[in-house]
Amino acid sequence: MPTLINIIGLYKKFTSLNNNIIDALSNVSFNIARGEFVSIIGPSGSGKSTLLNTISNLTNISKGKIEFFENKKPTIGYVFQDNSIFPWRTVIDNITFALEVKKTHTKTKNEIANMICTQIGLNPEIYLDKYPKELSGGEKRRIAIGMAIAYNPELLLLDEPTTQLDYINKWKIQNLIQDIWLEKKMTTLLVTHDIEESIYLGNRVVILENGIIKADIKIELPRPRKNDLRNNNLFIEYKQKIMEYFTKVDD
Amino acid sequence: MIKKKYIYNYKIISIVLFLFLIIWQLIALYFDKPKIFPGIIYLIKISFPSFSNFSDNNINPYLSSVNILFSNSIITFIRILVSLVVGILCGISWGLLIHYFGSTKKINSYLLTIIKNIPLFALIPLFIYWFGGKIIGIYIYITFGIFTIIATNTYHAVFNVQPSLISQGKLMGADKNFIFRKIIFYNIQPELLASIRNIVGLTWAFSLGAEYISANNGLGYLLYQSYLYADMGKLIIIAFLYSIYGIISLIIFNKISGYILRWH
Repeated sequence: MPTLINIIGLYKKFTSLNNNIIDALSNVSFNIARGEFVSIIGPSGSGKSTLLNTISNLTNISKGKIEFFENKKPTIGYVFQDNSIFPWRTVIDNITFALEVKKTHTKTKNEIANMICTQIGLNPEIYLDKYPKELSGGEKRRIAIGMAIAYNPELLLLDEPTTQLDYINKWKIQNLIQDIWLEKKMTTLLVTHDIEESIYLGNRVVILENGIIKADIKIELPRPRKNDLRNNNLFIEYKQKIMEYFTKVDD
Repeated sequence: MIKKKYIYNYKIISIVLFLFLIIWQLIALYFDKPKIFPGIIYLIKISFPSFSNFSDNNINPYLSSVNILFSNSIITFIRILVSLVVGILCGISWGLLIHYFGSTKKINSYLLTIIKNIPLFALIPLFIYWFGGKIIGIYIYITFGIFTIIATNTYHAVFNVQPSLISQGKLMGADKNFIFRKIIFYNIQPELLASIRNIVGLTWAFSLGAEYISANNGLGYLLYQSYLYADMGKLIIIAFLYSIYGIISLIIFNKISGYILRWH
């Protein structure tokens, strides 16, 4: 698989309110192959979201380079931590926002909205005309994912997509993400602080601590992964391995 | 359930109003100086029909007074409505444009702060000199009052837009124009409608100031004339009318904003 993104010696510095320089990212280097699913795990404040923001060009980098395949920036779908669905738009209007920007014909938009709604596990007849305020946390998360994949982006960025959800919904969303990835094979970068989630979904788990990459672990578990895999010995071994890194950091 | 709640509210309002009128009448009886503190009965029997003095047709003083109050209310209402529409549209546009043209943001925000801090009533003599007896002065005065508040609130509301929504728009390829029209404008609506709600109440006060300028009709004109002749009864009736109109406009506005913010 060709490399889609090559991150070389990336630094991101922030100035705090009392004028201290904070290194959000320090000499971060790794690459992501086209079609790969990479999980980035780390505690709060480790620079995970900053990394996504630099890749998507929402934040400027202080030093280093981000190279894209054939020097062409891929189209990006981003699921933000706080959902980022537009509360004043109905589900159909949220899902088709990107298509509206691209001035897609209404008929095509409706067809895509129906298809995406089914894909994210919601009945279009019931949900398309609802406002976000009428949806549960899990349903909102599904819509946010639907919005991000509606225009078939080459790169999908997921910033803690299951945070604040109960266990059942968490697993449902994780399986939805996996199903979408298996179907579309779009390069996916997941940021999470949930060790299980990072192993369950990723082909690789990158451990980030204080803006520095501590480890890059290849996950060799079969696909499609089912919920009972979480009790598999190999899965538990991966989990312990990653937990050891965090214990080391703590020590 | 909802109907019951409304009936309950109306019952409470009616009781409070009734008690207020009783207390008013009792105080008036106690002082017994109707020229200074007229009671309810004096207001109905003497003050109200005397509005017919403003009319040429004086056959039935009650009917003639109703006609005078109604026609002048309509005149004031039209002035308010036109000024509200123009003031709100210009205010929102300017508040948004300050952010749209980022390079002039500082100058514009200072300018807005200066304009906003000019006391509106201090402008009355200026407007009298500038516009004399022209009706346009009234419209400009009310519009100016609405415009400054709406422009300032719009300007500040944009700072509260959720940044990830703008980022979402940018990533999906939306240009600046699209982001302003489809994201920022909608995101500031709850804040904007709250300030418009306040304006709707205040506009009646602005209209009063404006009609003081040089109007020869409208509720403000009637009030000014009553003030010149120290007619307390008429002053109280007009003040009461202002209060009723204020409440009605708020009820109508709440219905409209409830529809606009049905997603909120």
